[in-house]
Amino acid sequence: MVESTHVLYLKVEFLRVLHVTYEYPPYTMGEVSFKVRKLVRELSEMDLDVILVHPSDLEGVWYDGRVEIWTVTKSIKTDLHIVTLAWSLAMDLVRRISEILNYYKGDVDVIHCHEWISTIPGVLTSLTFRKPLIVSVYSVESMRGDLVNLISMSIDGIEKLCFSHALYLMTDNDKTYSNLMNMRKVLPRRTIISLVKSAKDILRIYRRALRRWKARRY
Amino acid sequence: MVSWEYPPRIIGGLSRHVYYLSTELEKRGVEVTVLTLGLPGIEEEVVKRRLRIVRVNEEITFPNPEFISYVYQFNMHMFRKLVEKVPEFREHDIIHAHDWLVSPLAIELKHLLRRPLITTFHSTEYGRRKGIHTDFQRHIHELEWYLAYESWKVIVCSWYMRNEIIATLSLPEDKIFVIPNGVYPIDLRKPIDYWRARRRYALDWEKIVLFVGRMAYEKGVHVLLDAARIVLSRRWDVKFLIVGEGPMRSYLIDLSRQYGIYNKVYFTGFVDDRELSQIYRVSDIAVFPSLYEPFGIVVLEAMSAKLPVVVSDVGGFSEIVQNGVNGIKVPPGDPNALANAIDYLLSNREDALRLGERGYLDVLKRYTWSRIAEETLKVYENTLKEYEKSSWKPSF
Repeated sequence: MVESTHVLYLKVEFLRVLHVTYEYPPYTMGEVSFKVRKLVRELSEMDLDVILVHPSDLEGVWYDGRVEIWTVTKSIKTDLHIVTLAWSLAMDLVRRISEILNYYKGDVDVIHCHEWISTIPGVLTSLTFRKPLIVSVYSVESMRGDLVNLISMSIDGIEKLCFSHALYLMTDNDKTYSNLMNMRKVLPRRTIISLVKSAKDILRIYRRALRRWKARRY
Repeated sequence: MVSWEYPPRIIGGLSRHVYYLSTELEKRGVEVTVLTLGLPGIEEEVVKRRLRIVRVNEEITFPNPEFISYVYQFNMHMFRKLVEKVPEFREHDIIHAHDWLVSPLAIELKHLLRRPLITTFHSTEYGRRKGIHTDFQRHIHELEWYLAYESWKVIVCSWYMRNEIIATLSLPEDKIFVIPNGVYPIDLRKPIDYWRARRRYALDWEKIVLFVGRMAYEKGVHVLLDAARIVLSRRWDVKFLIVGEGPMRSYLIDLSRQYGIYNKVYFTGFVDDRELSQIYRVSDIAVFPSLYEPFGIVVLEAMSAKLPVVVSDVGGFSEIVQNGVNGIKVPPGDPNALANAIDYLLSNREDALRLGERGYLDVLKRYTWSRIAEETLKVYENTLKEYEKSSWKPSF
C-alpha cells in the first residue's frame, strides 16, 4: 500500500455572515424567531461562520450550537408605537453591530437582516462599511396592515426605503413573494427578489451576492 | 456638524448658531461639513472653501404618525445623503450634534465611525415643558438623555443650562462646557431711512416697544400683552411691536383684542434679517418676558443695536443682563413689574441711553462669534487629545 504524501486541499471560500434580527428564542413575538433560529443553526453547520445580534434584556455573548449570539439592550424605554420602537432600537443595534465589526476587524462578508425592523440598522451598516445587504422578508405591511392608518403607512414606507438598499430580498412563502414582486417598481434594478426553500438556497445566494458585490455588476 | 436647521431654513436660534459657528471655525482652518435639512429648491450641496453644506431637501416621502417618527425618518435620510455626497465621511475627526433632533444620526455615526461625539444642547424637553408630562415628551427626554450619555463632551450656552442638564439628564459636571452664544452686532453705521422705516410700524409720536421671538408659551408674550394693557392705561404714546411667528400667534392676536389694545399692538409675523435689523434701529426699547430661556440670543441682538432691554430674570437672561447696569430685570410672569420697567425706561431717556450704551459695549466684549469659535475649538482639541489616548478607536 502506497501512502500518499500529497494531500489535496479543497479551497472553500470561507464566509462570515452577520444576522440581524428583532426576535430570537427565547425572545419570541411570533413564528419568525423560530424560523431564524432554524436557519442560522443550519447555516452554521455548512462551513459558515454565523454571528447573530438581537435585542434582549441583558447584553452579552453566548453560543447557540455553533452560532455566536450577541445581545443588545434597548436604551429608549418609552415607545409611542412600533414605528418609534423600530427607529430607536436601530441606534442600539448599530452600536452592537459596530462592536461586532470592530471585534472581527471588519471581517464580515454579508449582512443578513430579518424583517423590516432589523433592516434599518442593516442599511446603515451596509452603507458605512460597504457590505452587501440581504434581507429575509416573512411578510410585508401590505399583508399585515390596512395601509390606511399612519402607522401602517409609515411601516410600508420604511420597508420600501430599507428594502431598496438590499442586494437580495428573500422569502420562504409564495404570498410574500408575490407581494414583494408588486413592490418591484419602487425597488432599484440591482435588488433581486428570490423565493428560497432551504438553507442551501440561501448559501448559494450569499455566494452570488458576494460575487456581484465584488464585480459591482449592478 | 449635524443640525436640523441651517439658513435659509430658520426655525429658531439654532440655525444662526450653526451658521456662525461653522463659518468662524472654517476661518480658523477647520474643515467643516454641515449636514442639515434644506428647503425645496435650495441647493443640496454648497462648498465654500473648507466649509461644505449638505442638505436633505425633498426625500422625506412617506407619512409619519407623529413628529418624533418624522425626526427619525429625516435622520435616516440625512445619513443616506451623507454617504452619497461625502464619500470620505469616515475621515471626519469629530461629530458635533446640535440638540435632540439629530440624536439618532449622531449616535449611529459615533458608533459606526468610532469617533468622538460632541453635543451642544440649546434647551431641554424638561425645561421647555416645565417637566415631563406625556409619553411623547418622555421619548424626547430619553433621546436627549441618550445623546448626552453618548457624548464625549457637552456644550451648553449658560450656567443655567448646565445646572438643568446635570439635574435632568444626570450628566457628570466634568463633561459639560459653558460657552455662551454669540451675535454679529447690528451694523449701526449702515445708513437707513430712519423715518421711513419707523413709519411702517408706528406713528411719529409713538414710542416703539419691541419683542422678537417665537410665539410660544415659554416666550411669555401673553405676559407682555398684560403689561401692555397696564402701560397703555398710564400713557397712550406707545406702540408694541411683536416680531415673530409661532403656534400661539392667533391666540395672542385674539388676546390683544380682548384687552382692547389691538390697535396698539403690531404683530409683524416673520421678517427677514435685513428688515429685523432696521426694526432694532428704529425701536426705543426691547422687552423679553420669557418664562423659560436657556440663553436668549435675541437680547444680544437688541443690545448690539444699543437698545435698552427689559428681560425676565430667568435662565440665560439672568447671566447676560446685570440689573441697572446693562438692562433691567423683572421677575418672570409678573406683568406689573414688567409694565413699571417699560414705563420707567420710556420716561427716563437718559437712563435708557446709558443702559443701551453699556449693553452694546458688553456685547462687543463678551459675545462675539470669533471668541465662541475659539472656545469651541479648544473643546475639540481637548476631546481629540483624550480620544488619542483612549483605546476606543476603529480596529479596521
